[in-house]
Amino acid sequence: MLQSIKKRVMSGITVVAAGILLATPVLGADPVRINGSGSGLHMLKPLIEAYSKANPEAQFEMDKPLGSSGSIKALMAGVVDIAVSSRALKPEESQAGATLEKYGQTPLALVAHKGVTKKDLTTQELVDIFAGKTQNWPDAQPIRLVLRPVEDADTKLLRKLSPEMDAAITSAQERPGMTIAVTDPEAVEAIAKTPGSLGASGLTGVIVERLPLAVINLNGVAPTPETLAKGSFPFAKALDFVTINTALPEAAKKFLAFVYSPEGRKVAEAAGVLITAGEKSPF
Amino acid sequence: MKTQFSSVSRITSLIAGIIAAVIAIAGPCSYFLVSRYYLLANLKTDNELTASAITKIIATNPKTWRFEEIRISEILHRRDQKDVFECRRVLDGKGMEVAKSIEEMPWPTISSTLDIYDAGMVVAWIEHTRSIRPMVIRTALVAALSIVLGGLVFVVLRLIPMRAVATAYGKLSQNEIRYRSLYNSIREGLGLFSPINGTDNTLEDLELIDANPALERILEKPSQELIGMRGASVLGGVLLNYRLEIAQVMADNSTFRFETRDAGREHYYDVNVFAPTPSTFAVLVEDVTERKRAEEQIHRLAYYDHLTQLPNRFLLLERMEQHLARAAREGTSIALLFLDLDRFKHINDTLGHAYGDQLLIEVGKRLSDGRRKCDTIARLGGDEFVLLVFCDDGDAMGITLLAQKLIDRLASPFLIADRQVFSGTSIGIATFPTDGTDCETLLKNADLAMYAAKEAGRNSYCYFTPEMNSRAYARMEMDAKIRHALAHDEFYLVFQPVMDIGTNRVSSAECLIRWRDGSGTLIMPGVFIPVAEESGLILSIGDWVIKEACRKLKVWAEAGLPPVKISVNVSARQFGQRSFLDFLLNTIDSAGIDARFLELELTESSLMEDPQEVAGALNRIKERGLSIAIDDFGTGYSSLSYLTRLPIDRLKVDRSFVREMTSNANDRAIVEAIFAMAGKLGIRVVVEGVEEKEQVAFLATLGCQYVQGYYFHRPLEEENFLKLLTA
Repeated sequence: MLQSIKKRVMSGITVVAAGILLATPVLGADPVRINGSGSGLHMLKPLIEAYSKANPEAQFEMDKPLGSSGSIKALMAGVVDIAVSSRALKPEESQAGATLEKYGQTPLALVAHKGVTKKDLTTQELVDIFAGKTQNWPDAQPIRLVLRPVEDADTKLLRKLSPEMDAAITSAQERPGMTIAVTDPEAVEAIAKTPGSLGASGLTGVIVERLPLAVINLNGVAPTPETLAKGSFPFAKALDFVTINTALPEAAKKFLAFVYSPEGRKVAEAAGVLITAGEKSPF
Repeated sequence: MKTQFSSVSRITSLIAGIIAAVIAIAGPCSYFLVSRYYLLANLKTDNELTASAITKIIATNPKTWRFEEIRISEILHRRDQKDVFECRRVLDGKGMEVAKSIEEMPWPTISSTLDIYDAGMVVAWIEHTRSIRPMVIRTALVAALSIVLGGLVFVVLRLIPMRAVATAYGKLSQNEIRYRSLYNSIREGLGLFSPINGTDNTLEDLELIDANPALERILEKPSQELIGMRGASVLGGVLLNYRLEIAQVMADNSTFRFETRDAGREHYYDVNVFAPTPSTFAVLVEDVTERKRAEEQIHRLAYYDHLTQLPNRFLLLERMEQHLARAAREGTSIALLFLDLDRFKHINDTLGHAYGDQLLIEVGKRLSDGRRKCDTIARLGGDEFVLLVFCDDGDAMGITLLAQKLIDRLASPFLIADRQVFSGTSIGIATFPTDGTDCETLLKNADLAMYAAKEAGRNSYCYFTPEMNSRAYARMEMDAKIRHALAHDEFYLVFQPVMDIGTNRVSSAECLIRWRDGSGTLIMPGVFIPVAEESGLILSIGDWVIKEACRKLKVWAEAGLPPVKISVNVSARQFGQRSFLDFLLNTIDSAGIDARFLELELTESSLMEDPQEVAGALNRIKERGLSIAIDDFGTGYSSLSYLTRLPIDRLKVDRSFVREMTSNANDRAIVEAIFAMAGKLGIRVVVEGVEEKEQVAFLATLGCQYVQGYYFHRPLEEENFLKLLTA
C-alpha cells in the first residue's frame, strides 16, 4: 500500500512537473488544481498530457485522488478548481455553489492478478467469492479479495448488482484480514501485486496505468465503453466535473473546454470512457 | 460488666462497619479507577495506532489530506470494535472535523486525545471517545457485590468476635456470679482493703472497700457502715499492728496469718492476709472461737480429770518432768505424796458409783484447797491422788506436816446427798532425788509407800523405804505363782462341815480353798487371796472353786456317797461379772450335778450393787434349785429390806458377833435379833466361828440348828470329810 501511495504521489509529481515544464513560457500563471475520484484522475491524466502538448504554458496541480466527496470538499474549500466526481452533488454542496456537469462513464471492471486464469465470472460466482463460500480459483489458487471502503462509490456500485451481492459485500467487509484499497490507483496497484487477487477498478485505471492485470468478464460481458453503452455491463462509474463557476479560473475553463472538445473526447475514450455529454463545453 | 460489654460491642461494630464500608466503597472505586486507567491506556494505544496511520496520509498529502474523509474514515471505522460504543474523530489544526466513525453513543463517555504531527507541527488531533456505560454498569455490579461482601464482612467481623466476646463475657459473668455467690456464702468474713500510704510511701493506714456478709456478721455492722472504715476501726485496729507484714504481702504476693482475740466479745479470729491485686489486699477472717474452745476442751480432756477437774496422769507426768528438771538444775527436792482413799471401794460398793464419784469430787476440792499454788494435785484414776510439792532440801518435817494435814482434812466426814460419809486416806511419800530420779520410779515408790501406810493401819502416811521394793517384788512373785498354781492344779478344796446340833450330824459343808505349791508347802488363803484380789486373779480362782465344787459333787454322787450340800464363797467382784450367771449354770450343766446340793455364799455388798438386777439373777439361780446364803451377815449394809425381797435361804452370822457372844451383851443382842428376824422371815441361820461349848449351849437356847466352827470341825481334807460323811 505504501509503495502504491508513493507511486501515485510520484505520478502526481510527474504530472505537476510536466505542467510546470509546459507552463514555463508563462511564468507566474496559477496552475489548474484538479482532484477527484481515482477513475476520474486516470481519465484526466492522458487529457492533461494531450492539453499540455498544445498548451505548454498550462500548469496543473493534481495530487493523489481525494475521491469524489473529498475532492468536492476541497473544491468547496478552494483548494482545487476542478473536481472529478463519480456521484451526484448533495443539496448542501449545490447550495454552496457547486455545479456538476456530466461528462461520461467508465465501466467498473472486475480485475484480477494477471496469474488468474479464469476470465469470466457469473453473478453467482461473484456473490460466492465475496460471501466467502468460494475461496479458491479453479486452479486451486487462493482468492484474495481487494475491497474498497464501505462508503466508496465503487462499493455501493457493486452492491447494486443484486441483494445477494449486497449481503456478500457486507460479509466480506466484516471478515478479518481483508485488503482495503481506498482509491482506484491503490486498488489496481494492489491487485497487480497480489497473486490470486480479485477486485474492482474503473476501466480508466486499467488502461491508463497499464498494469499487468487480468480483466474478468461478468456473465460473459467484458467491461468496455461499448458494453456499457449497450447496457449489457451493469457497473458504470460516472465521471463528471464539479466546479464553482464563480471561482473557476480561466485556465481551468480552457482546459475543460479541451476536455469537451473532440480532441479531448478522443483522448478520454481511449482511456476507456463512454462520453455521454455533448461536444459543447458547458464552461 | 454490662457497660464494658456494650463498649466492646460498640467498638467492634465501629471497626466492622469501617472495614465493611471500605470494602463496599473501595471495591467499586478500585474497579472503576483501574478500568478507567485501563480504558484510557487502551484509548491512548488505539489513538497512537490510528494517529500513525493518519500521519502517513498527512505526510503524503499535506495540503489536501483533510479532504480525504473516506480514507481517514475507513481507518477510523476499521478500528471499530463492534461491541464497543466508541467514536473516533479527527480534527484539523483549526478544530474542524475531518472524519468521525459514528454520530452518537450512550452517555457517559470518556475521551482521549492525541496530537498528530507533520514536519514537527501539530496539524491535527485525534479524539477517541468511548461510552463508559458498560463500565459504569459493571462498576455498579461490583459495587453491589462489594456491598454484599461488605455486609458479609461486617457480619463476620462483628458477629463472630461479638459471639466470642459474648461467650467470654457470659463465662466471665457466670464465674463472677459463682464467685460472688461463694464470696457471699462463705462462712469466713472477707474484706478487701485499699492501702493508704504516708508521705514516705510506707503503709500508714488502710480503708475497707468491700466486705462480704460474713464479715458484716463478724464485725456486727452493715456493709454501708463497713465500707470506708479505717484500719483502727476494724477488728480493734489489730491490722495496723501488721503494717509491715501487709506491705510485704503486697510486695511479693505472699500470704501471712495471725490469730487475734476480740477482747470485748471473747471471740477468737484466725486472720489470713493476701493480695488479690497489686493495689489491694484482702483479709479472710475466720471465727475460730468454737474451735479454740474445743481445743481447750480437748486440752482439758487430755490433761485434766473430767470428774474432779484436777490434772490427770498425763499432766502430772509432764509437770513432774519439768519439776524434776528444775529441781535437778537448782539442787532442790521434790516430794511426791501418793494418796489412796480408805474405804472408797466399800463406799462405792455399798452406796453406789454416784456417791463414789461425788466423794472423789469433794476429796479433790479439799486437796486443792490445801495446796500451795506451786504444788500440783492430780488424780491418777480411781481413788488415787498425787500431790507434787517442792520442798527445801531436808525439809522432812514440812512434808510430814503436810501429809498429816491432808489426812486430817480428809478424815472429817463428807456430806454427800444428805448423807455423812467417812473416808480417810493413806499417803505414801517418795522424794526426789532420794527415792528416785525419774517420774516412773518416784510414782512407783510413792505407791509402794502408800500400800505400806495402808497395811500399817489406815489414815496414816508412810515414807518410802528400799524394803518396800522387796515386798512389792514378793507380791509380784506371788502373782506369778498363783498363775502357775491355776495352770498346774496346785489348788484344792477343803470342807468345813456345818453341823446340825440337833442330830449332831453333818448338815452341809463350806468349801474352802487351799494351796500346796510344787514344793509341797501349804499356802493359806490369807497369803495369796489379797494378792489375787489386787491382781484380778481372784476371778479365776473363784471360777476354779465353783468348777471344782461341782466336780466333787459329781464324783461323790457317782461314788454313791450320801448326798450333801456344799457351799462356795462368791466374791462381790465375781458375782458382779456379767458372765457369772451363764458361767455358773453352764458349769452345773456340764458337771451334770443336782443343783440343789450347791449353795452360793454371797456378801451383803454383792447384793447392793443393782438390787433389780441382783434380784433377777438370784431368782434365776433359785429356779435352777441352788441355795443362796448371806455370808458374814451383820457386818455390811444396815438396811435389811433386801431380806424380804430376795430369795435368800440362809444367813451366816459373822464370827465377830459369835466370838464374844457369851460375854458381850451387845453381841449377844445382835445374835438374838438375827435369830428373831430370820425366824419371822422364814430364813434359816448358820452361826460361824463356834469354838466353845458355851457358845453352842447359848445358841441352842436361841433355837439355833446349824453351826460351823472349830468346836465341831476344822476344815477337813476331802478324804476326812468323806469319812465323816459316811460314818
